[in-house]
Amino acid sequence: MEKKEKEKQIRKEAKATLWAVAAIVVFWFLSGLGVSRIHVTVFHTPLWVITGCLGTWIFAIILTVFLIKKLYRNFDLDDEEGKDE
Amino acid sequence: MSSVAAGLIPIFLLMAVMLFVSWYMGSDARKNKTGDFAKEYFIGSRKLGGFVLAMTTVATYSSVSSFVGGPGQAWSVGFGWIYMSVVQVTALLLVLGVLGKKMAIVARRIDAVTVIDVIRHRYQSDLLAGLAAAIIVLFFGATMVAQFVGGAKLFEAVTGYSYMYGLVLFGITVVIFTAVGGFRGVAVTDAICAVCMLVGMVILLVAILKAGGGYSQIMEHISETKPQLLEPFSGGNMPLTLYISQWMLVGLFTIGLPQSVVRCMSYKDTKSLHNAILLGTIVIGAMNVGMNFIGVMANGVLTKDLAAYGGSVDNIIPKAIVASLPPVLAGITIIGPICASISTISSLLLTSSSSIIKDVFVYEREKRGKAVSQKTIGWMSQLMTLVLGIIVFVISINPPGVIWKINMFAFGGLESAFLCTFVLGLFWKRANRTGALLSMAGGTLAYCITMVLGFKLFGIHQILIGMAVSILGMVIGSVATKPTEKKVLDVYF
Repeated sequence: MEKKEKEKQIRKEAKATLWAVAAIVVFWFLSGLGVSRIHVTVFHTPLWVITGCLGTWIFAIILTVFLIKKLYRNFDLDDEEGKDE
Repeated sequence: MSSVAAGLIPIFLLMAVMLFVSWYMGSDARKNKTGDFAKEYFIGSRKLGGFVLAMTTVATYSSVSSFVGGPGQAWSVGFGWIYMSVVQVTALLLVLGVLGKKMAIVARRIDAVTVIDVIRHRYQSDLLAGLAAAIIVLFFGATMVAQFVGGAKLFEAVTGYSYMYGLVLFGITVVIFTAVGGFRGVAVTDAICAVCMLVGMVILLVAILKAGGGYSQIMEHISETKPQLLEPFSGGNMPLTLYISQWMLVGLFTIGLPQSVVRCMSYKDTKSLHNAILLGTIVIGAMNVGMNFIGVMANGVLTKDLAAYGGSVDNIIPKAIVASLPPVLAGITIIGPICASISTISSLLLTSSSSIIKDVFVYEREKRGKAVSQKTIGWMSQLMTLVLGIIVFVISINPPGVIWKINMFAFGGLESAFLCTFVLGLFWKRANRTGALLSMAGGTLAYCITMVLGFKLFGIHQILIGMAVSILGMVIGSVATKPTEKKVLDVYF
């Protein structure tokens, strides 16, 4: 990958990461404060605790896997054009 | 041997392992195999793999308060505290996902060893670099003292041995292993610490559930005696503004913490980075959800009012450990929080010493045309780490009140100082010296002054003001003055 291409890819990844974090914020809000309006208890535990705490964590992991598999790319961190070989 | 003394065996063993591992890891730097002492000692020659990168970032980030003060609060306010702490799952994604690759590439291009190397080069300013070094040493110093005190107090509360005994035992160890092992030693011992934290957490969780009569019984007890613990706002104890504040302070803005950003310069390749982001997100979530869950469950063991436990939530976890575990297992469990403490100290200590030696001393000498040999950098770096560590250790014996104030300012202060400098510096071409100076000085001052005055906007933590001033400073200062020269920008864009 050339320098310019790497720069483009890095910007794309940074943007996607910020979008993923924004999605986590929204998920966190809806699955916790949102779900807490429904008074449901599962195995002595309020539903919002499960969706808001465990759910947010699992959602973050799923998004991270998605980013790594679909958006992040592998490339050499050293500049290729700078090499003598 | 008494059973209490037997409880100390795990800690002694751990300290011995730490010293051995760091000595072994530091041997490359000492033998000067790589030919560049500073690069090996302060950044591990950019050789970290995914597992160690994930663990060292998480361990540095998880402090003693994640294991003691935080879960104590969870005992007091309930599940809302877990819900609040889960925002930290974004931390690794942000720092490694947004800054990770850019920082790694730039560091290789300019052969940077410290984050200040990058700041100095990007903004072409010695003044800014000096300011950054001063902020790092001041805030890191106070944080280290707080970590020492937290760890030693916990040691005293759980084992019954004195505060001083604990401080000497793990304090001296961490200072020595950091000085000897350098970055690679710190990173690998951090990884061991992270594993110990998880193990300690699982043991404590099982013990507390058992001591409280099982999950169902504890939950029934909570819903009968303290039903507000089951509400996200905890009967008014957890207002929405607190959630918003924490999202900023321990979630989104952690992207700017220099002790995390330096890790972006230390890993081997992009595959390691990707693995670290995933593993780190899993582990940091497990620790935050797990430890604070333990805090809530402690309600099954410690059923009285806070006043009965010395009036401080910091006493909850130590008392819960003592109440639910025999001494030997308690000894294994307190390894968790002690690891959280030493893994934070080791990284801060090394970054502080690099700021003084590499960013100030070596740079100033070389600027005056006096070359500094690898050998000199070698012994001076290790000596500086040792001296700084000893200073922090001595202050921790009886810390003056002002240290606590600085420590309270440290997290937000570092974010206000560095977030814009890093993020905008790496992604916004227009960011320049004047902008960065205004951003760093203005943001930090605005944050500290409003903290002292207790002035808030919309009831949200002062980090909002610090960050707003920092962003404004960067944008106005950069737009109003001339751009950075193209030759410099070519390295970054």
